[in-house]
Amino acid sequence: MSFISWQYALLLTCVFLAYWSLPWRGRIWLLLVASYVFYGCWDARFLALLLTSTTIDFFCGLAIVGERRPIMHVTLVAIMPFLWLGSYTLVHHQGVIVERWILAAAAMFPVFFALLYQSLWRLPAGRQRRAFWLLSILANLSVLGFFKYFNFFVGSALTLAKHLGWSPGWMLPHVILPVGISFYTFQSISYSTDILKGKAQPARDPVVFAAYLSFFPQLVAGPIERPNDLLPQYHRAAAWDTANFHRGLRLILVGLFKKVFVGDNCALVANYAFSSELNLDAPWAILGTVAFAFQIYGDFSGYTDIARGSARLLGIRLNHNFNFPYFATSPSDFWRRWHITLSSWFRDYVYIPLGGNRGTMARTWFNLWLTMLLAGLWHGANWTFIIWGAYHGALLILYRLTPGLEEFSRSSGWRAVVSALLMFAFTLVGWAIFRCATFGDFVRWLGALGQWHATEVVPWWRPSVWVFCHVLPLLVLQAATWKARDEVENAAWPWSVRGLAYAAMFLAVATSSAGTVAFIYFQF
Amino acid sequence: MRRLIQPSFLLSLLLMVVAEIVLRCTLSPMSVATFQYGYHPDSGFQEAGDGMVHLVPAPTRDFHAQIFSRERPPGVFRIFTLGNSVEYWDAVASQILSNTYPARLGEELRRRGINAESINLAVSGYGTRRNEVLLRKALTYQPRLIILKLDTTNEGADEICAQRARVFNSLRPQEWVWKSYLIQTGLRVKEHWLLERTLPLPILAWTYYDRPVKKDTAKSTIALPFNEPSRHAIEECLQLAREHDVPILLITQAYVTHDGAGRAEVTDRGLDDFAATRCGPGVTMVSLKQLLGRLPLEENFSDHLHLTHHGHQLVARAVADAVQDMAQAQSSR
Repeated sequence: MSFISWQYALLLTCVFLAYWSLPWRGRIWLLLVASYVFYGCWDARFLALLLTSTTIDFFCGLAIVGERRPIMHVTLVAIMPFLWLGSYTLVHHQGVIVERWILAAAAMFPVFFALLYQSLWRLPAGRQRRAFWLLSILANLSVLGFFKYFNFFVGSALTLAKHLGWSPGWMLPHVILPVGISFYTFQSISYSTDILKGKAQPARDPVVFAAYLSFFPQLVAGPIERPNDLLPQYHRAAAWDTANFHRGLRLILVGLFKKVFVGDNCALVANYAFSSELNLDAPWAILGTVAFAFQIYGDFSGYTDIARGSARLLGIRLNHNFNFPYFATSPSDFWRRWHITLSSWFRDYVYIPLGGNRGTMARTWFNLWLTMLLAGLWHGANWTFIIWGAYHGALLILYRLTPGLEEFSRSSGWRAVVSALLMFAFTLVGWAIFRCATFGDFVRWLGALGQWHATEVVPWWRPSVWVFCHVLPLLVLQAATWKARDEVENAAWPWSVRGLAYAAMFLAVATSSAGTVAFIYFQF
Repeated sequence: MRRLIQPSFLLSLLLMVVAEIVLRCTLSPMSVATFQYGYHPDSGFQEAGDGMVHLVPAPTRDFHAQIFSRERPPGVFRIFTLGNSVEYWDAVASQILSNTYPARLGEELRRRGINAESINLAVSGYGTRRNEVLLRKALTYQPRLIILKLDTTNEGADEICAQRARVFNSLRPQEWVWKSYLIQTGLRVKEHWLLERTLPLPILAWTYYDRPVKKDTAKSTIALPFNEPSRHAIEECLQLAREHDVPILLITQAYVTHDGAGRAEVTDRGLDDFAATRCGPGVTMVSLKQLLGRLPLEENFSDHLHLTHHGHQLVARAVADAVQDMAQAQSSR
């Protein structure tokens, strides 16, 4: 179920109306059911995967703090994925919907998990906590690894083997990537890790935990929430606050504006520029990349705003994910502003555990580079994403290697403007890598930068007017809300100006909704 | 307690409601037909109280302004020509009605002593599907001959407009937003003033088709196939003409392309064969490839598709030759 659909509007309205008329317990159940309906609309089979992650992380989280649940309780909860898949198969008995080996695995899971759970409790007390943490991490990474990376790595290995003269002729299984898997597995990992580090307390109620892990506004594309930020909000009934209601609606409107008006309209030019139909030359290469930069920003930050707005309507606060990223003056500044919850996740759970900047200079650079490489890989099973991560890692190192550059980027006045423009240019190169389907396409894009005489008969300047007309209102909005550092914070505006702005944004969204495209980050 | 509804929200709501009411009061039904994207049967036809029909330029049916009587006067050989920019323009960027071959055809027939009335119903950008809708209306004005142009150039535009018209007519919840005149008008303004002027045709085609567009060798137009809906529309046109006992003349478009050595040549994209198989009682054809292909191209084509003044003159004469006998027989009735 996409945010840009009447079904979502209906779901959110129904949840909103029911939510505020229910007691605390009823709200938790409502959120859980709504979240599972929301997720099930994509592919109901993968609810079993979500249930499996929920089961493992719930019991591991408790075990990390030394709380043991009866084996019968564990088994009953662990049987839920099989019950779901079994019922699903019975209802959809025509056609192959769930393969038998998956059903068999789901049937074995309660037995296997219960036995493992019991055996880990037999470990010495000092090792128990870490063992349960490891079980949670490995389970999440295995799910992510199989569904997202199995075909990529095995396929790449087979290609390499073929080049070396060995061709086993294996057929790779067709693995469907479940929507939002990268987001909720990362949220699960931060849950277990924060409990191990003593930064968070586990959920004691499986329904609360299931509702926390599957919260529908942020389930499929974040923000990736930490247990300490989101879980406590589930432990008490939120009180109605009109300010939350207003802010939630504003967030949704601004989110729709960014996604539908800015992102989708820029996508028209970006998709064409990166298509094989075009004889790419320098003006088209630059225009296409600028269009993609605003497409991906409008798309993803728009999604985040709608997610935050939806949650805020229910009295739940989600974290910021963007903070004017194209005004960043250096790579480290960019990552403090772009997809903030992911970059902070990698900082806290990869970079710092690797040693951070506590070792030698070379070690710090390696840690930085490896972290960014993994962040690139997180975005998708494709070499272009890995190269994109490596490129950003190299940029971070370049700025650290060049003290003058780092110092210049921290200046104010015209130097800050130059730094922001330079960083934007670096960002554009990164987006070109990100957007190209293959490394060969990126080489073609780089080659096109040297082609300043027009090779494409379709003129570039007219579409650039189109991009400009859709980016300018966003920049005006950002300039007007710059001081508040939040695009929906417009309390300083007179109410009449706000009224005009809301009407203009609504019309901009409505007149752009004829050809909306899917959210980019859903595929990650 | 803070107010649930803020003044800013009320103001935005009020502005939109007022704009909606104003538009509903001021837009004529024909303006609303804009959002049928050429699939509204009456768009562009204004029937006056004095029995005359005024063809007026409507937003999605940009006719040349012309007048004719609702009832065909006895003895008049009335011809309606349905086509696209080739019939609408007398040369690229020149839109003088009297220079177009439908207008010249009327003159030519009158010069030959036939009481002919030739009305140019061509609309720039129209393909076969929208011409079918137009034909249904035209047949209510008792024509003696229909000239129907076959051209693959605008099949994509027809499909886009058909999709749009379906959206605006749909009752599905996701289309409710389009019931608002304010939003319809906003979209139309945006499309007319921004989208159509800034985005090239291949990008526009991507917007709706989401698939690569095959460009012709000149890379200046999209060449979407003369597909099943288009063929079906032609068959419908022929059937309608038969039902009304009106002869139909198919004119097949010719296209100037360049081979690898840069030599210009004329192709018909298979239209000639298609039309030839439809010829028979009441259906004849004129092939522009046959007519103009062996003549100096620069003399008759102003670009890969459109005709020069000379080209229009030649086509008018050829059509007059083809219909003269029929016209003489019918106008004497």
